[in-house]
Amino acid sequence: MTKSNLKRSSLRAKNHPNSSQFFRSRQSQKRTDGIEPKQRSFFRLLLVWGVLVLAALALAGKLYYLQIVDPVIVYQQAPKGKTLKQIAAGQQFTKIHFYRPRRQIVDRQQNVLATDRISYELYAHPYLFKRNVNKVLPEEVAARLAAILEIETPEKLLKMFRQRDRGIRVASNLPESVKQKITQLRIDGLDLVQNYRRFYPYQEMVAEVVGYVNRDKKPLPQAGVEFTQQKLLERPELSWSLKRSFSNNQAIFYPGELSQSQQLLKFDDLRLQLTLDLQLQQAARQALQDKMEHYRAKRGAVIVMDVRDGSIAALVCEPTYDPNRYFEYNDIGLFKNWAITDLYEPGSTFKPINVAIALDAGVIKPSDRFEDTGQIKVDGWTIRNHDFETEGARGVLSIAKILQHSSNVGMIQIVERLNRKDYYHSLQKLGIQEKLEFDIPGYTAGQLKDEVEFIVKPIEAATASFGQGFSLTALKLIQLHGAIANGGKLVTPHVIRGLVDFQGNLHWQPSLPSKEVFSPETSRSVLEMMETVVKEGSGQTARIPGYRVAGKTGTAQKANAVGGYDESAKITSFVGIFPVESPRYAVLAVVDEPQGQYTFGSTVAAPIVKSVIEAIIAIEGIPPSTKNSDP
Amino acid sequence: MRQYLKYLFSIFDSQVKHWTIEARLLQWLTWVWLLIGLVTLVSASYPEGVIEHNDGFYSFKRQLLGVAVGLVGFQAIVRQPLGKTLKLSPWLVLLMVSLIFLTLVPGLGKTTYGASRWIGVGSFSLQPSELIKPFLVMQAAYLFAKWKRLDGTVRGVWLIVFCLMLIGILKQPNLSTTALCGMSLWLMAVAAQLPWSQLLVTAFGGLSLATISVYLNPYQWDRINFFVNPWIDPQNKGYQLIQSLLAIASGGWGGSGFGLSQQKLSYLPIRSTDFIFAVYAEEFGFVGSILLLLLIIVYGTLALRVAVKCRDRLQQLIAIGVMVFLVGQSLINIGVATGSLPTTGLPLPFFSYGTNSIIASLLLAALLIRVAKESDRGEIKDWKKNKQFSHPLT
Repeated sequence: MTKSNLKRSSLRAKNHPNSSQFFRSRQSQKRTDGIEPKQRSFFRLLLVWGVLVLAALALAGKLYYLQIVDPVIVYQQAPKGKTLKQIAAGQQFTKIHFYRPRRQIVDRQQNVLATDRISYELYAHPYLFKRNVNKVLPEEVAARLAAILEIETPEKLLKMFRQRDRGIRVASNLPESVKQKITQLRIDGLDLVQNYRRFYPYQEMVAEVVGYVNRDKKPLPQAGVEFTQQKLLERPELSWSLKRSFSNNQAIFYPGELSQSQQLLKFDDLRLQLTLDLQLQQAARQALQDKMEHYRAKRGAVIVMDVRDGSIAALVCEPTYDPNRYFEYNDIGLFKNWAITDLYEPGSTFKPINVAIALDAGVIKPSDRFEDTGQIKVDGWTIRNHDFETEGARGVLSIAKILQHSSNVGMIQIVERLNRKDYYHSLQKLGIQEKLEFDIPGYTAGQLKDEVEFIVKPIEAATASFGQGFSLTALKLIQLHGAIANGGKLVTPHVIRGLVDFQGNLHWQPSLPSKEVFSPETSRSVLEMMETVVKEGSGQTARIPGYRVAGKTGTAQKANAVGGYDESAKITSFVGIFPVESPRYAVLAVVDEPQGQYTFGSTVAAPIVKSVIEAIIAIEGIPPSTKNSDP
Repeated sequence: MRQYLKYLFSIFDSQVKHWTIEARLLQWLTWVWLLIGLVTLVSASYPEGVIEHNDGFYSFKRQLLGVAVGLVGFQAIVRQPLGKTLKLSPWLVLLMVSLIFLTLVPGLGKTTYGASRWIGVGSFSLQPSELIKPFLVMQAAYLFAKWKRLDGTVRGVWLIVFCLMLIGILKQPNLSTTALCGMSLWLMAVAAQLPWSQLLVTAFGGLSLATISVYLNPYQWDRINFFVNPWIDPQNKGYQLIQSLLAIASGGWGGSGFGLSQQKLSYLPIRSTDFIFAVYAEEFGFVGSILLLLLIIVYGTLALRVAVKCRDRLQQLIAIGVMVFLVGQSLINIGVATGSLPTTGLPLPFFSYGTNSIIASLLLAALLIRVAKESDRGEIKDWKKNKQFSHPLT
């Protein structure tokens, strides 16, 4: 405070003399005021200060409780079991879910075999039935809905409306067109819930390969490629935590970090491509169905495999199901692909494999000849040729002839030259007992007899020589024939080609091991022998003029439950390889329990393979073989 | 430049180094408090400013205007002897009390949130119940300091004026300011060593008055009811408090960082005034909140030290009065935000948006600093020189 200031203030004080007598009257007392017992005064001041300090300490405690302890709020109206921080985050953040459709499945020609489709579920709440505030009678709603839905009658709908007054699930899987009709009614109390459904445009055509996804709240794949390729197909739902606030009752969102939004941009259009060819699949199914119908067969399967790499071009299993209506089937056996899951005794179709084993072992030469006596005694058992009754002993036969006539006696003699232990190990080397990792679930490893039993008893090797006494799946059999066709390589059968974009560029493909099981020379000579089967032998029903087809028939007895063979139940099969000059495809047809006379591999299965090969020729435009074009 | 700046900010005044250490510390603390308050206000009011006025700094700019006006008054009080300022106080108290009653006249008072506490002056509004605070401190200090020597009529008349003021504020209705003023006056009276018997009778009277007010104004009862358990009605009556609690709790140890309060964006109502502490606590966390409490308590302790050093009872009471008003009001505001006290509309000094409040707070601080300046020996001498002019009312 400066002197000039003081002067000024004193001057101003003089300029404003106190007007009121009331104010002035106490002027004389002023000086004496300030002096009081200091001790008491200090105590009172401290008291007031103390009150404030205590309050501040209490507030610090409260702040610690709120900010650090962060208690769980337990009042009835509060969100249950949440702390203040969690409640705050709950209101400040919102989760946004982005549905990302499951990848499509396409065939070799990019035909869509499985895709996600929007569908609607219709819920009715009769207590809300209104149109522009006016009540609508349930009868009217029922009548109008019945007209749109077609599958329900007004009476049935009305009965549903009478039973409950809300939350009635009237219909599901409604397409967009029906949804529009329902919304045009403009009736309150009809609720359409949108959801995504897996849709299979070709219904049962590829069901045994593609499988299906169920319609649970969280859809899960149940069979086929859908099941095994879940990791490739599924694109997990994206959910973002977004900050939000409100302005004039409108939510404002704060997109936040860029990295989060980039997830959305990384969306790809890749689809899972199969090696299947839909057209071929259709042709194969048609051929199979025709024969099955004709012979009233129990079941059947056709497999077409590209022998060069093991890719499956068609895989048909009958009977099958429509994956769009999987829930309507009571027989869950339908959902498995029996060509992959069920074992059977291959019978004569296995004979060329045995010939290859013997050739590779060096115990026979392609030019060797064997005396076919029509029947033979092994270990006390008499074994006959299938045509012993009509043909008797055929005499000396070349190996090709043995195959052509499917001579059991000839095959027993070939296999007898093998050391039984070596033979057993050769069968093991083919991987019959091994689990095959296949793109369709449920592959069952084949069964061989016990090794000791096989080596000790000559009858075991004898029956194995014509394909009985052990079992394998149809898939395994075609893999083995593939090795004969492709120069001795055991390729990995597969139906997944890889992930492709819409232009068809491959972005990922599975790695497929292969191993050599026969020498190229062996496989070539066996293949040529098999060609003679179609040309001159039991496989003539599969002959296609102008094309070189190799093949082998099979008519096997089915093992029954008591360990013997069932006389009436047969499993007929035919395996074809084509074209012989440069093998591309192995085709296997298996028909289980055909009824009636003349049910052999040559009559039931071979014509199916023929039809399939004709379809391949048509689809791929394969020209006739130049050499040996005329049979 | 410097010579002009010194009239606004005492840091540019070379004379400051001759001040007592308390006066200098208090001045510094006032600036620190004001600065933190302004910074917090920018953060708290920016989003709503953008939405409502298309200018994020709308509230801040108006607040700066209040600060400017307040600084003029601040300098006036700090620079002139306390006695001179005291001469004005009775007139200003009387003026403010009449203005308080003017707010009750329908058409004159501006009504917001169901209370008419303001008189519109252009785009600003005058809130006499805020502005009266510094003058009330002076007048009450004067009255209580000379309590035993004043004659009954004078005591009576001033007590009636104070009561009228309290009733006027209560009628607005503004229970919180009434309670604050009442409690502050009472605490000043305690410090003034008035007999406990009289003090207790007054306290009882005040509490009865408050009870009647709560009984007559259902909204006040609701506030008391819902502060105990805001979750009874989380969407409605408990909403404000719940949002404030959520904001404070979200702060955690270190807070979300300056400007990053999420609650201020839309959830927390009246975020730039009554609940500004919640924004502060969310952005600066427990550490920041404790530092603020520490600042307030250090401020109060310095005020106590000034009061103890004062030889003069009148000065002593002014120091205590300022302490009670600034520190007490801050603690009540924080108490409200943390759900420790019923929800009331008291601003947080130097923080809350409101030109009246910032002016009143600056004037109160100025009074304390002036007392601190005069509390040392030299200043007392100075004061003694001018004692014949020191108080117009004596």
